[in-house]
Amino acid sequence: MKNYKLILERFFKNQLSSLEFKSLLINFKKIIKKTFDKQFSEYIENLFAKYYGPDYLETLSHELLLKLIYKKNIVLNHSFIHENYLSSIAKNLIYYHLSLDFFKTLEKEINFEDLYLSEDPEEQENLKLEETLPKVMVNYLENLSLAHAVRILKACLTSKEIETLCWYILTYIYNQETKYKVNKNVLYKRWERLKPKLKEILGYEYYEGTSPSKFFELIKSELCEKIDYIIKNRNN
Amino acid sequence: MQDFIKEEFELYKELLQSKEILVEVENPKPPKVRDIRELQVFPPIYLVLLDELSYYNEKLFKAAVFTEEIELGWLGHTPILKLDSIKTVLIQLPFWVYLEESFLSRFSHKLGRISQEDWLKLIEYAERTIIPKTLQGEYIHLVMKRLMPYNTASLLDYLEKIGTYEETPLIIQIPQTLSKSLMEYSYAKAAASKNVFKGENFFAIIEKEKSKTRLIIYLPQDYIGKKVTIKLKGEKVFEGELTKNKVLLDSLPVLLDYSFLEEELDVQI
Repeated sequence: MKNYKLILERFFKNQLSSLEFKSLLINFKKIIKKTFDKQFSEYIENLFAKYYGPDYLETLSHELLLKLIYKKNIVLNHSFIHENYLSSIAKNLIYYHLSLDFFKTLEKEINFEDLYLSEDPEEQENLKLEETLPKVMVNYLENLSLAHAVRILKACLTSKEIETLCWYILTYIYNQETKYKVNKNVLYKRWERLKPKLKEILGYEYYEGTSPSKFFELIKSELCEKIDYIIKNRNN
Repeated sequence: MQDFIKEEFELYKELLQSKEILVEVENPKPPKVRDIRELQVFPPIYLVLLDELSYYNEKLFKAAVFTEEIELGWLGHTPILKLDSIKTVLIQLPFWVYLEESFLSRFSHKLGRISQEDWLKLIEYAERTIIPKTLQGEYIHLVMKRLMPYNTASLLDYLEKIGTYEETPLIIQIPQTLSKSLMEYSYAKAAASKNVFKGENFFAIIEKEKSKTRLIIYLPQDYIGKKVTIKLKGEKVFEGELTKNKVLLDSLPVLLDYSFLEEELDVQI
């Protein structure tokens, strides 16, 4: 695995030839592209291409360099700078753009001569928390979080508990008729016992998340339809 | 269905060094409440200073913790902070730490300050949010673990330093009946034994001697001259104008564990 320490050290000292600099930027573009491919959906990458134009990887690679200049002190104190480190910085940079009032302004190209002379970024006073995030970012985070929550439920709940969860969601959320052979009162008692367990796993009541409907839909498709299939086969 | 959270958590663990390297900042700046600071570790951890506890010249800061790992820290209604100057977006984690002034000055870089009105939201989030039993929860516990040595060292150093202010404490004798009633805790587990406590508005340290135990309470300096009530297990042990901000409760029974004091000791002004 490539160690970026030496080349970054030379970059900080302004010792790279233009060819080396170009090659570093090409490597950065590859890392950013890989970050998009591995950690974001195609839809998100297409949005970047749409709003920044075909050179979005170029723009982001310049910004990645800018962030590394800011992190110079940390970079120089580590003996090995792994590609994954650069990828993690690139990932936050992508999130930063996603959190903006979506790509309203096109970023101007960075003048590197200015960067070498610049001091630390200016400290900002009275920073405020983001009240609202662009829908695209919230949706994306929600999808990741809910997919993970459902996977954890699948792993942590017993088959009886999954059956109970599905019975409740199909009956009371989707008003569907269910074909469970277990007595309704038994299922209801099981559900009462399951609720605190769900809260413990999720950290919130099952209906209190940012998008309960999306959560129920995912439980239905990922857990209940499979159970439904098993029950139907059992009944036949 | 792909589980990105799992993949991200694995990547994060791969990035962690076997031994944490703390890098000193080039231009140290003294910490202040509402500062947003980046702790010089890798992967980075960010702090927002929520409160300052001072005892003479020693300062200890209560800090909210933020991270760059957005998807791992995002629990739904999580506070988000955008730093345009460094094109970084941060997300709060639901816990806080205590760090000493000198530690923050040496190893954290000031990035800005948070507005007064948002400060309360951070406290509320850190206090009220339940850590889930998912990999996001595991990630939060891992960051907690990374900060634990600095948190504990800061608390202990702080107490050691304030202990050196050679001042005669205000001595309060605990009624014998109350002392006896504390014997109900004699079966407490020794494994959980802890000698340093942080209450809402005080620090306390247990001083064990052969046959008795004393409790030293350090109160904020500005409490001096004010009417203070100290209650132990619901019973008033002191009420009156505070003359010293170092108070000694004498004496407690010898027990294996005193962690019940976190719940049972109450100082009101």
